[in-house]
Amino acid sequence: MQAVIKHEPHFPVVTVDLAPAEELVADYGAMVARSPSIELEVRLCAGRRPSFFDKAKALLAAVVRRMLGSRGLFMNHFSSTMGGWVRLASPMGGAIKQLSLRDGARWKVAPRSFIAHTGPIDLKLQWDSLRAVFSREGVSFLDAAGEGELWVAGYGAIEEIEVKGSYVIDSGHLVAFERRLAFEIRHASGHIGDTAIPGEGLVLELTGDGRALVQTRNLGALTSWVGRQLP
Amino acid sequence: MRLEILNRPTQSFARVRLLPGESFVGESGAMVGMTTNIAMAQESAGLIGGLKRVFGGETIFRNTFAAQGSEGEVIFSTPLAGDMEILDVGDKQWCLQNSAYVASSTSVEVASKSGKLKGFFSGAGSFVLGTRGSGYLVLGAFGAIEAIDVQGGMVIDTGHVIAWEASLAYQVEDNSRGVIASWLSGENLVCSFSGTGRAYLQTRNLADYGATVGALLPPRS
Repeated sequence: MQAVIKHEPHFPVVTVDLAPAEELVADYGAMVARSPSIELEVRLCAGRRPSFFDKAKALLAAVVRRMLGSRGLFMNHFSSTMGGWVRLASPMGGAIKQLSLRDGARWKVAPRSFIAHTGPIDLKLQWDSLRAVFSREGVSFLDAAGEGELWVAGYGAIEEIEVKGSYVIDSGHLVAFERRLAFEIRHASGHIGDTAIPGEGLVLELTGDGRALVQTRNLGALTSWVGRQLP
Repeated sequence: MRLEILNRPTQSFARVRLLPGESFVGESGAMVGMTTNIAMAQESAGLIGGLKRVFGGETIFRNTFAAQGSEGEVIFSTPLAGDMEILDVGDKQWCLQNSAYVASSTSVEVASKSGKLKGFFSGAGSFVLGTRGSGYLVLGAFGAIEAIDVQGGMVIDTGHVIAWEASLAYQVEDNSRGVIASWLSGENLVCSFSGTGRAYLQTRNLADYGATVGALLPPRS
């Protein structure tokens, strides 16, 4: 596996070269182009070797998300018997960062920021996240555990924050954080209350030592600004 | 006639310098500015040609810019941030997505490919145009532009492909096999090219960007 990121900083695209039999798992809409030798299959995002319960949970999340007007969490599984390449980008065209998961490192990734991973990484939504999916409120994360390479995309640039002790990050700016950081979701002003836009005004308080990635722009802020300008 | 692209790749615009008597055609709304000796006129495609454009998903009107008396210039740009590219038309003929069309020489005919229904990209709401004649063609992209020399085969997402040599054969197809619950995931169409020739792709996808932002807009009151 080899990966090259081109067209930085404004329009990054990552090209991943796959060796024969290597597999790349990417968000359903992330592919820009690929070599014709690549085979792909769409699967629900239910983790590696999912149990029946995991599959049912992923399907339920997909159905609910679809009914709420957003796409379910589907992954394209790319592989090839003779090798090949896949180019990937994110819809918001922001920075792309490669994370190397080693020695049981675990990350929580905002679903919108996930682009792709290679290697034996277990990727799934958590139960508390499913509750967030249902209520259309709160913040959901993909839990990534295992060994391999993982690519995330931001909206704008991505800045790495070294958390020592504690740090508060706006949920709309959060891309990913190391799982060894404990987190608590709360309203910026104290408690989770009613907000017009899901996730708006929520912050995460991270505690412990570890890394967090933030994006310099916020999609919720963009859409609420554009919305106000519409006739 | 001299063409150049400035402010690449993010905020690019195309400057066309015309000698007296020369003219250029631009997409409706693409003109940023021009010298005062340029006469701008709505290009008439005729009744049949106009209808063809409507059915081809193009804007009905394009504008012709003609330099009168002395040398003049016209500047063209695109609605979204990205790169632009100048293609030579003549020895090579091109196919392009209608959203990538910005401007062209008056000696180049740019029209929807008639009788080629598979050229219709469903979902993206986009159509394929083809060139005839010789001169210049100015493309506008969303994001950066990458030129790819196809040798044998290549698969590009329909939202990312902007132009390709007419010598390449292509087929629009669903990207994946074995789709579980396709109504849940939506279609994912790609352009599968075969043969030898150049293709251009843009790094960003208009439809994806529109869907991402559009889904989060607050309802209009």
